[in-house]
Amino acid sequence: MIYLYAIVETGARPPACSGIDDEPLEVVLLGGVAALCSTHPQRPLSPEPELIWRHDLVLERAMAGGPVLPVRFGTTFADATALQAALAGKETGFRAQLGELRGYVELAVRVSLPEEWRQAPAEGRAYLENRLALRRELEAATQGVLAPLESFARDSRRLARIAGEPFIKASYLVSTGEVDRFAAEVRRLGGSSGDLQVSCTGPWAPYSFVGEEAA
Amino acid sequence: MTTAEAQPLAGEDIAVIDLLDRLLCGGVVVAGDITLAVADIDLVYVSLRALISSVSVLEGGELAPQRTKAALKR
Repeated sequence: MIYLYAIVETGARPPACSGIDDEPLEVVLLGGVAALCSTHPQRPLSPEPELIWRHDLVLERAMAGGPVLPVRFGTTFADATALQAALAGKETGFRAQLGELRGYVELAVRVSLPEEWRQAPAEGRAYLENRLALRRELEAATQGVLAPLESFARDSRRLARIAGEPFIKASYLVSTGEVDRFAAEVRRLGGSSGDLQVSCTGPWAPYSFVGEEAA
Repeated sequence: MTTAEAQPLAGEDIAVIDLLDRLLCGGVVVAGDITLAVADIDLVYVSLRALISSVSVLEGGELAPQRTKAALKR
């Protein structure tokens, strides 16, 4: 079984760490791109903490060596032939994406309303009024925090709201040289946004910016 | 993909949720075998929430110190 972590450039070297289950990392050439992967005896995979963190560690190390297209957690292939077949014909698109993402990282921003919003009325008119008010507050938070940050990023994605939940999230594609500036802007907006709680995590591999066009 | 308790999320919790959002919902999707049970994802949220991440977390104007994933090894 081959576990695939990321698509990388043909010149990339395996990061200096081991993969999941401590198996060695390999870079397998596939035409114009390469696959960062490790080989395992067949086994079921579930998102256990050790596997999740190992996957992320591999991506974090790989990012340090050049652009990466992170692959969704848990993607495996029976053997090298199956891997080659799955990626056949996509090399040109992957190469273009690698070029576009060179020097960029993803930052995650979350804006939360005060915790009182979690104690929502359970039913009736009060429930409906609360839901409407929640929607207005989240829209204001979007315009007040998420939207202004877009001018500090090359690209962004707002994550779908979860009905009834008092927070909103977005991902930003930011040049590595601009991360500090972006973080400073997050702090500034957080400090001037009343009782909104604003958090920012990263840098992440560009998980939110390697979407359908590469698939 | 959220927590239901009344306590504000700590920076580590937010980092873990952000990590899971990305690994489980983002990334390139290729026609390999993805064999993740949805039920497992809730479980992993619960068990990961206690863990420490290495990503830096900005919250309330503070930049948390860099943490190490070595702490995750059992």
